[in-house]
Amino acid sequence: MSEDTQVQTLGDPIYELRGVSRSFGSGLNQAHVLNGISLDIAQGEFVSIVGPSGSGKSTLLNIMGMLDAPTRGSCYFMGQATHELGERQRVTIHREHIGFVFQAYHLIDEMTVYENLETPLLYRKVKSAERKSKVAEMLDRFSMVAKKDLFPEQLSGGQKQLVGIARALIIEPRVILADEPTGNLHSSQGDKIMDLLSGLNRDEGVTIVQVTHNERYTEYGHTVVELLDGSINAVSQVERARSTNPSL
Amino acid sequence: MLKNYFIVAARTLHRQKGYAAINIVGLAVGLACCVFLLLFVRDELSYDRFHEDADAIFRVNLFEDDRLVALTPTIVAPLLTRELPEVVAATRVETSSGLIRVDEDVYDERGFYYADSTFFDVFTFPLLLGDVSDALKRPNTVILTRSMAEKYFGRLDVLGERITRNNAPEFEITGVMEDLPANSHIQFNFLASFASREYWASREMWGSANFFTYIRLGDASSLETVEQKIALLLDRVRASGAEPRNLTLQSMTAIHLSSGIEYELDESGDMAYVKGFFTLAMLILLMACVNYMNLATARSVLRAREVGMRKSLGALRSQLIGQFYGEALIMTLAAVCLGVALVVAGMGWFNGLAGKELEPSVFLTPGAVLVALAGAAIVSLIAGSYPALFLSSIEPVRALRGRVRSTQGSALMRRGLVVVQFGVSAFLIVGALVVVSQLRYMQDRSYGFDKEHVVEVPINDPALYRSYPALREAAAESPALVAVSALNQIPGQLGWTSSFRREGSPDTDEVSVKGMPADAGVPGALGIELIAGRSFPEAPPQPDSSNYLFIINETAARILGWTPDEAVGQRIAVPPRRGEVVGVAKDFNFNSLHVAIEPLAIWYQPREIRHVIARFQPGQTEEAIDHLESVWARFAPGVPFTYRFIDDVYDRQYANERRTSRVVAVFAFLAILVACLGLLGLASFTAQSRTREIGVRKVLGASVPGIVGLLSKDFVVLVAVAFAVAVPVAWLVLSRWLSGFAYHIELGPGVFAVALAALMTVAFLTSSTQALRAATTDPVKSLRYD
Repeated sequence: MSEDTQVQTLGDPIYELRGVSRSFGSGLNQAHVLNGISLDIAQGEFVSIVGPSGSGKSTLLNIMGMLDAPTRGSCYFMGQATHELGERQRVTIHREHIGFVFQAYHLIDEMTVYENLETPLLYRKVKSAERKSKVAEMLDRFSMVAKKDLFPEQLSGGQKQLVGIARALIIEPRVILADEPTGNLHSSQGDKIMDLLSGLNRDEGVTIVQVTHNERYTEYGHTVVELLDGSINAVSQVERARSTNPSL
Repeated sequence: MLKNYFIVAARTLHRQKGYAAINIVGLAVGLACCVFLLLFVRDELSYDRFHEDADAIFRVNLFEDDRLVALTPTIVAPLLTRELPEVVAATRVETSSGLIRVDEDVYDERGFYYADSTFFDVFTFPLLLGDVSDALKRPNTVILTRSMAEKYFGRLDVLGERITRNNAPEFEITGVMEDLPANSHIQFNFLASFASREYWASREMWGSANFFTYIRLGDASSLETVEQKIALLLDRVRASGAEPRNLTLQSMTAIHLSSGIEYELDESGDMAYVKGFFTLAMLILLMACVNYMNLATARSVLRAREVGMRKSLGALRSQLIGQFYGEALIMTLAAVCLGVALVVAGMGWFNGLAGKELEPSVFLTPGAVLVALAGAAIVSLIAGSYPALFLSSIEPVRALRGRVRSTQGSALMRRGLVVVQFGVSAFLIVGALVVVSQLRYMQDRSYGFDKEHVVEVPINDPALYRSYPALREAAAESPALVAVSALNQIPGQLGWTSSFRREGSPDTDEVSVKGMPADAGVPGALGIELIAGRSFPEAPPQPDSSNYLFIINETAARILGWTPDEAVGQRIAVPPRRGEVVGVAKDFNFNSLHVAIEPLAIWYQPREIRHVIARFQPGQTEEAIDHLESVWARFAPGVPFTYRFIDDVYDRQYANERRTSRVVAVFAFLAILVACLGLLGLASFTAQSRTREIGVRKVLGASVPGIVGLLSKDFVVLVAVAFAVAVPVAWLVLSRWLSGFAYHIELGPGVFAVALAALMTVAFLTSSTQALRAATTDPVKSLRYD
């Protein structure tokens, strides 16, 4: 297991992790979830993080998303050390660069599809007219115009996740962090979501980091980072030949 | 952004309809209760403040031995005006009632007052018609209130019209004024010139304290100087040989809420009740707010995911705080609107309950709206703080997992808040029970005479007075009547205070005694039991100063140092009367149960009779009244027949208590309702947040009653703790309240047991409905999601 793993570079690194550790609790009850993870991810890359339950996949993703902070080590996002950022700067990064996609979708139940899509733009203080056109464009792109006034509970799981991705995309992020985006979906719905993500990566250069359990879906990415007990067990490149995206 | 918050807030409320309803209704009911009580308090405190410079108005009270009396002799007002430059104006007020004749119609009216022409220099009562400067100058002039003018003449411009009081004299109407405000302790329908009372108006004497004296000072702050000067003045008066009683000044604005002064003009309020109601208002508001916070914090945990999501989308903490405060504000505003609606709708009901004439229009002033908004802002700030500050601080990772457990601290706080609520409820239940049972006790207690079967008819016409002996004979003819007699003052309102001693012992032995001049048949007509001696002979000679006949009560005999039997035949003096004790009456409560039985002397003196009293057969009330009315029609045709049951006279003495008991009972109920709403919300939350646990337990074989018990147990324990806290407080407060009655119930464990049982039942029923729902949920459903 290498100390410093250089993932295949497509551009400047967007993420540089140096000895990132995360533990919970203290004293005898301390649980080390991540142990000195060092990892570089280049712009435009598609990385899949895999590993058994409890290996620290989601924690790693959360640290990259600045939803959580490392106990030791540092994480650099576009050259900036995340631990040095104040709330405002961090929030600005969330508003402008990072889109999240969750296994449980995490749509706001009280808001319609339209309003869910609009929310990130509201936090970015985008003007009303521009907001309207962006949401309309997103709805159009994901063929959800007819569903814009529905509430999340009126949608199927796959449709919810489409909304989740659309919401992540609407700010035109540099990176999408996806935590088991297909975990709650049928395989056909899952395939569709994965096709969408890889298309975004390929056509729009959006960096994608996904956590997944499903081995089949690791093949959509370029690089697979395998975690075991909080450390990187292996990093492998996906053979291009196997990376088939028939639909796109 | 704001619109987004509003939409989410509105939809959150809509989605959690039950919870929102509980929260809004609870807060609205609490607010409405609070507003009602505060309006009551405000009204009580507003008495007599409508006069210009009301703080400079004082009433002169008179010391009679150790008692304070509101009545003064005729000399006080003119003397103070003359001698003290600080006194700008002084007026005497004499209260009366009478038969008013307008053309051929006769009305029995109360509230016929006489006052000096300076009345309007002291008080601010604007006239609708007439001139304040001379409306009361001449003898036999009178000012009518609007309703009297309308009643008699059907119009307001009645200046120069004439009315007659008790056949003579005739009064010329020189003014019309608006009806008196309800919050004036002076309440009259007629205000006649004091000059009409020629005998009194022309004499300045120190005897016969029958007049209220009000003075206006040039400067309220000179009160102390004025009191000192009055003391010096009285010393000078004494030096010149007169025997004035000591005088003291009482602020006009303090009159309504003061107690313990005799011959008070109105049915006075009580500062203790005002304070009590204010406390109650604050407690109920506190409970409603507590509820609100409790439910809000409990529910907020369910919103954690949303918080996490918003944070990951780029929400600042301050924006989230704003969002939650905003939601609290929306909810509070809804509650305020509902609360105001409740108040406006319930105003008539509350007025009936509290014996007030409050207007809902007080809400329509800009000031009130501002206060309401400020109140809403404060309540939402308090109530919204916990969710706003706590939720916005959760780390997004934990929030997104939806695993935000309320911390130990917040659970403790919630429990504490429930304890506060139920503690207050327990206190109110016990309070209501005690007040109600004391009232019942006062009604049911034997007063020592036939209180329930005696009716009183005032002798308010000279013709009636003259024909009284024949009238008595005629009245006694009916089989419905047991006995008919007459006396000076009726039981329940016995105020004639004199002093007495054994004849021959020195003046210094004199002790205060209540006096009841009466016709011979009075013991029979009241149903008083004689334990020694006999009643008055049937037709004793008219007494002169030395041959009065007395019946004294047991207490009087004891104070004079005799057993009842010894007392019979002894001679006593109730100066200037002297005479023989012919009988001793068993003690009876001739006044309300607030006071212990005092010494009483009944003596035969038919000249002093003012009321006919008649004892009737139980069950023949109607016949008795009909008969009396026909007798009246025969002896005093044209004079309206009015009567009162002695029972009712006593009851009126308890008006304050009755009002209090009604208010306390109703508000205790509402407070419990608010507390239960809170408990309901909290129980449903607990049940919800323990759904998984319940599912697991059911899979493991737990029974429904077992689970209901498990979930309800916590609340029952909390209620028990609340009760334990409330008991000593209730004990202290209620003991003090009861000590205001010379005759009262004992505080036993009974009321506490009843209150505990009631509270437990309510709390258990409330929480178990939710528990039952949770317990009967299909475990497969609750375990489906991990």
